[in-house]
Amino acid sequence: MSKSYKYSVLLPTYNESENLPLVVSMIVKAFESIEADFEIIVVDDGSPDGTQEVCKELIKIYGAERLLLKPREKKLGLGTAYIHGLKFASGNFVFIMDADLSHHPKYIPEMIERQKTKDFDVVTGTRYSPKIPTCGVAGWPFERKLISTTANYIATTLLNPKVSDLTGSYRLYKKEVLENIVQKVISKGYVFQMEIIARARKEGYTISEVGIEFVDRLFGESCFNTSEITGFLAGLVKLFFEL
Amino acid sequence: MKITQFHKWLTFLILFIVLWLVLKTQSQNHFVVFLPIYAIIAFGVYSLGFIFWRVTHFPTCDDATEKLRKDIKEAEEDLKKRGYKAPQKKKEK
Repeated sequence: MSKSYKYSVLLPTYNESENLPLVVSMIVKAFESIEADFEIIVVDDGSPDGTQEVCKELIKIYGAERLLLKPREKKLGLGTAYIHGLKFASGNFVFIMDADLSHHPKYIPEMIERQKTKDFDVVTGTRYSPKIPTCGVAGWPFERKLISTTANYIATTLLNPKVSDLTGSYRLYKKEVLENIVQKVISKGYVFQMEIIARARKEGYTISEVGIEFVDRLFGESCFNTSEITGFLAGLVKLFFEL
Repeated sequence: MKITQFHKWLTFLILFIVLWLVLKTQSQNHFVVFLPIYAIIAFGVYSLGFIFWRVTHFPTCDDATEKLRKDIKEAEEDLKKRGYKAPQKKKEK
């Protein structure tokens, strides 16, 4: 079987000058451990903290074939960041993940292997599936657990996507699958990731879950204020009538 | 025409209402007459119970932070070995 596997990692960044070298080093380590062909595409939205300078230094170390910098002028949203990054992706598979180390690159080999078992269209990292004992979050206060559980419950009831972690954004896609879905997405913010996976389910793509540990770097971050809550619910309702 | 979640819920709702109206003609039982109210209450109780159970059984991995700290140290050493030097940040004040 001579199918070639090349993985493009899309890394949208904003003010990640501290984390970028670390996450790139870990991603490279993960791929080199399984001798897989890969590239990392950093889509930076005009970060004022020098993220792009950091990326250019990293390119000198890792080479322009492994690390690409495809910036944009300002914050333009995640969906367009993916579309932009996909234009330069030469792999036939695409990883999407956060650059702040909450998504640990050590799961890359496991996700790759899982994808190959049944040629899954999507492999998604889950932080809290009751069926998978290896996943979980670290350092979440009660309030955050409550908000996350309630949000997932409402979204699951309304959209029924049959995945345990709807807002998770640590995923592996076949390139054509992501390209197909991301063109159709209408939501923003937290709902964006939900819509991607709900659409994937609706289009009949095969999805598999891998348990991941999720560590927040920013412990003091306030995650949900009232305008975000109303935005979230409004976005969900829109999808309820759309999907 | 694409079938959305809304359509599925609408279908279920219509079926439920029709069944309920038929049942009402067969029985004057208090429970049957107020079935929709009880259904909503049951759903509410179930939802609260479900959320409570999930929150109290939320999967946590307390050693993940320590493991990450170790991996970060390893990454820093790896970068140093490869000759990476963080560019000077321009201080804008």
